[in-house]
Amino acid sequence: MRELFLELFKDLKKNKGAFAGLWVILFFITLGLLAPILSPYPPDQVVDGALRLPPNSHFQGHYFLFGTDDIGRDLLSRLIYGSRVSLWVGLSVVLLSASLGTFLGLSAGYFGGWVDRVISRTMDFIMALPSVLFAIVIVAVLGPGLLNAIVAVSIVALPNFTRLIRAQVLAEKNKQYVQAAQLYGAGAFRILFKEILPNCVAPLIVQASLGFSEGVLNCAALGFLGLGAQAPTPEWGTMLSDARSFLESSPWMVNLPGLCILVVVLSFNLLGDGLRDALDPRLKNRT
Amino acid sequence: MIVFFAKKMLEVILTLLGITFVCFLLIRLVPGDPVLLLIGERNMDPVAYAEAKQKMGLDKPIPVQFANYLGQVVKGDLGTSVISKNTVWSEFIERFPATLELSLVAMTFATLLAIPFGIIAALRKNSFFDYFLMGTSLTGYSMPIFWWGLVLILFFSVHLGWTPVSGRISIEYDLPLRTGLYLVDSLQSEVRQSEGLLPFWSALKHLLLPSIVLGTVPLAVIARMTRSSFLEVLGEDYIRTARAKGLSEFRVVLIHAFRNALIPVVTTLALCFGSLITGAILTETIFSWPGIGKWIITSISARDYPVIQGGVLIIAGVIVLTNTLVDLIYIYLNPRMKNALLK
Repeated sequence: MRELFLELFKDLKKNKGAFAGLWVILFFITLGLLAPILSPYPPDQVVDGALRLPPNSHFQGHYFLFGTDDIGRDLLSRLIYGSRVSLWVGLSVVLLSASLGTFLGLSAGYFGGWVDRVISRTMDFIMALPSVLFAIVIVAVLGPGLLNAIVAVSIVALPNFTRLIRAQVLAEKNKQYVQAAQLYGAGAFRILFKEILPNCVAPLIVQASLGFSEGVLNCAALGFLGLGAQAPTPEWGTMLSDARSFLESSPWMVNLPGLCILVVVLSFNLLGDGLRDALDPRLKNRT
Repeated sequence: MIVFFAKKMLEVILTLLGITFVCFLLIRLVPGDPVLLLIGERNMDPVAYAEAKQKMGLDKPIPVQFANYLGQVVKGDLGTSVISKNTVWSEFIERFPATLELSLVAMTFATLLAIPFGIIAALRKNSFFDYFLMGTSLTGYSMPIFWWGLVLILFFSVHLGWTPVSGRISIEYDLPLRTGLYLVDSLQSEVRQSEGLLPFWSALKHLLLPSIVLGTVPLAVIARMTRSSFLEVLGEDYIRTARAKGLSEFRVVLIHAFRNALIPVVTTLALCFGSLITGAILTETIFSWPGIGKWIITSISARDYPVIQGGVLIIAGVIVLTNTLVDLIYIYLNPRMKNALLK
């Protein structure tokens, strides 16, 4: 396992894009973790009279590097806290969909028969609906809110993981090491989690990175539509949506959160692509 | 072949049944009383309430209710909007052409740019141009399009004043609607006689930014797919043979490689349809485009549950049927799969 990660890191270093993506992600993780120390103001502190000040403004002894929003909150602080929200969202989506998807994929691939059929049909069904539409339906039932948006986006992401693990199990389960374990009398649970799962880790890492970007993007989209995080949560999509009416007069209120979403999503996609190339040399030679 | 079709149809029917069931559950899972949700009134008197409940069959057990709902859906009765009191179906038909027109223009724009870009990137592999194109396309793929739309509005509409910000056509034109596609309707002879080509240009201008926004993600996906598909095909033996025969590079690429490399691209194109709806929901919200995406979002904020229920059902149905159709056309076009099935 450790060797896998060391080798991955070595391969990634050669891929400039992926390496850059990794650094940007580490930067945003640091921002998110140290938000209370790094941000000059609490995210919802209102400075009286400091309405929609442009970036690099001084106001009564206050300094606003990225300007302020329509009720006088420091945009930089909200963006820093926003990275905390977005990373938390991405992480929850990946953890939820990857763990449940792994479990379902392992069961479908290993047991086959009706277990496989029920799971595979359900996944086909989820995939038949467009992701945001499906998420909208779920949010319409559960009610808008960040937590419900995370649940919705995780369900939408579920088929990716389930199908990936299922295909991997189908490829692995007839290999000799699995048969050997079966001959030793190992139970299904042991074989699945101790023998097969470690061999699925590589594609799972790639999918996790891509799933992270998708999770962040979809949750931001729901926030933009008013179905995700609600004000005053400093979520980038929601901030962007709230700032829409000030697009002409105060474009920084729209552009800074948008740029943050783009950079984070792009970084995770770069990293995911790089990881895929590093883990699957066949693909690297092809493209 | 027949077995295959039967299986495929069974699959489609099962999926549609599943979707219907989810839409049926939708209204029963939402917190609140379904009777009030469906009628959209508060403070009803108890007699009218009981009457309505009985009329809608909500006093019967759930399986019977589902059977009834299914019967209604099959007959084409998808319910009535609480707000406008129009049937869901008529509201859908009214808005669908707007979304269709936007999607068609967006996909045309995306495909026409993406395929040449992908081919050039593949031919100039590892060149600056290749890195630039692939970098741009990954950026496009990662783009939060709800922000991208606002950036374009800011630049082209606000700063340059070139394009309108919202709507489908300038309000001074009143088009007689035949197809509901403004680009087509504005070219009818009576419109051309009275207004000339001005309505057409107006409709085109209104379409410009929304279709760029909606086409961005498909553009990125198709360009990447075209590139990798071409790289694979260009390494095949028959391409080497074609080159060895002394054929011009132009002929090798456009005649020999093109057709084979395009198969996965066509698949990708077809897969874009589902995500196009997702994109349409966001794009229509930004540009106040009166299509089905905006319709669904508006009805969610208005808590118009019959519309959400019926609308989602129609959209999902359209997507499932389109995907199936694409699958069948794909098999028809691909001789290898067709022969395998015929055996």
